[in-house]
Amino acid sequence: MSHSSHAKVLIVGSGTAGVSVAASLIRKDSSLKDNIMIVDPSEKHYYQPFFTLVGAGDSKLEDNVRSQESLMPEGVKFIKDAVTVFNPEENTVETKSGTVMAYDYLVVAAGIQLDFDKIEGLEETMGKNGVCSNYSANTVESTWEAMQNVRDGRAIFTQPSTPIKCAGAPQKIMYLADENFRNSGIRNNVTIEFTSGMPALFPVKRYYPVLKDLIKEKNIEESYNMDLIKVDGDKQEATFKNSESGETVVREFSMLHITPPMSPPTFIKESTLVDEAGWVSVDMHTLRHTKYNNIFSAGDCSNLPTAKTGAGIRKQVPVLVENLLATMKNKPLTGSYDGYASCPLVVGYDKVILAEFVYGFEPKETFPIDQRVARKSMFFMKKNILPMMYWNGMLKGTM
Amino acid sequence: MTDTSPEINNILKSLEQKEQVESLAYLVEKLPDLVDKMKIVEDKADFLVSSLTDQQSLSVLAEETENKIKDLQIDETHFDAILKMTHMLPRLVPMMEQMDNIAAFVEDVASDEKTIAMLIDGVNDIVPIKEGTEILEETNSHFKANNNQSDISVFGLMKMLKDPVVQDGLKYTKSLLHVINKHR
Repeated sequence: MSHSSHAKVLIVGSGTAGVSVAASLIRKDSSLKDNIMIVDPSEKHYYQPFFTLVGAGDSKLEDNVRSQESLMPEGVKFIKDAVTVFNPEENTVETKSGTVMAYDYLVVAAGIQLDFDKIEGLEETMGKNGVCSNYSANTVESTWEAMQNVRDGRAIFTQPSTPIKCAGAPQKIMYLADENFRNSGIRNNVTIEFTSGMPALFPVKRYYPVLKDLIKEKNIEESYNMDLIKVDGDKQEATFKNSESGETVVREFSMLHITPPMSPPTFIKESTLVDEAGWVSVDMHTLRHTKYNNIFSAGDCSNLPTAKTGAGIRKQVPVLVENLLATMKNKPLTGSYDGYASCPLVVGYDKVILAEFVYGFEPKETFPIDQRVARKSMFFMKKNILPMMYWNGMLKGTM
Repeated sequence: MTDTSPEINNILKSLEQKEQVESLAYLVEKLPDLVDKMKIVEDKADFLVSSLTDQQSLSVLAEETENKIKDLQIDETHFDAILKMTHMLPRLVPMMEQMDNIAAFVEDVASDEKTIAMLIDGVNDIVPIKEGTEILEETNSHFKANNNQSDISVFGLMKMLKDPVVQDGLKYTKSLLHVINKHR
């Protein structure tokens, strides 16, 4: 049976961006208490930057998860449901349960979709035969299992040609596997290969040479413009397609770490809110929708031309909140996002290169030290400070 | 008479129309209600007029307010300060917001058991507090269990000197003395 509800601000998605926006809105304008709703079908909220460490056996999955309910800011109503249709002309959305939710202002923060199903044969073998992925809570623990089972052969780490969340993650787990194999005394028996659908190792020029040297130093093989299209788990064979020549190549593996192709969530792709590629179309600086003035978007589902990272969201949220409040008061939008994103590139079990950049992949570093150098201090920050900043700062609207 | 009769005629004529009759009927029906509401408004207005004309009440009120202001002991310097502060507000407010955010963050961290546990684990990775505590506890129990009264002999001392932990300590001390001498 269908019913309806109304919120002054409706937020689609209770991930990093959705919860942070809600908390920040209430901190900035207490009159919005009890006037904000978040709709999302998930019950659990994961701290995904730690999936790299979980996959490498350096952290436990259960330490990086909290219930969505426990994270809802006071005065925000959480609706456990999935949006299926947007009606921006009527200021409503429709949900899977049949509810019509009306809003005055809409924030679309629904994240990104993992398309594991676009790789033939993957579903049957995921989590078995050395096939694993850090990219989902359901599969991340299989990476550590696969890593421990490797004795020899070829360990392949893939990256697709599509946009992905945290573009450094496909290599991070590879560097950790390298160190793990060295510590286990089997590195000489294992060939490590980075097979990417992208044309290069890393898009930011400042860090590119450092990472190239690291790959060389660690004796890792590289292939580019190669997309994984098929996996045969029983035979432990992976098929790749060259995006330029169309040629296919079959590789044997003992471990296959998969970064799946990703795309905008289907219900967003099918809406009228999107650009040609299916991402929510927003102004790259104000984060307001290019057509509807009462709609904003942040995070992975938006079409912002920068890397899709949690650190990026940390900088997008204050801008979105400032501009949304200005819209409510009919004031000019003064908040401006510069495309900031950050990628703590874990290059070992105690070392991190902290890459920070803005639009155009131009570097914009925070610390007065050479951040291209792999440092223990940055690893300490990644492992101990950033989770605290996330759970207790970002999601509470204070940083 | 002759001047007003056409107007009265017009009014009477318009009152014959259906809409006017219906409106009059409605008004007559609502008349008791309207009178009640009028009375309430009249009472409030009476109270206001009476209060404003009651010199005694007004002077008590004024005296009380004046005393309160007097207690505050506000002088010109305060007004100057308020003026200055008003000018500083655009700069102060962002700072206060930051302070408020930091306070809220610290408060949230302090009340979050999971974060505290994670922080302790993190510190323990760098400084092995747990390990150190375990060593001390074990040493204490060993010392208590083997606390015999016999003296340590020269040979016992020689044996202790060969212990790798003591050797490392002595080597470190040697390096330290070397560095200190260099900087003397």
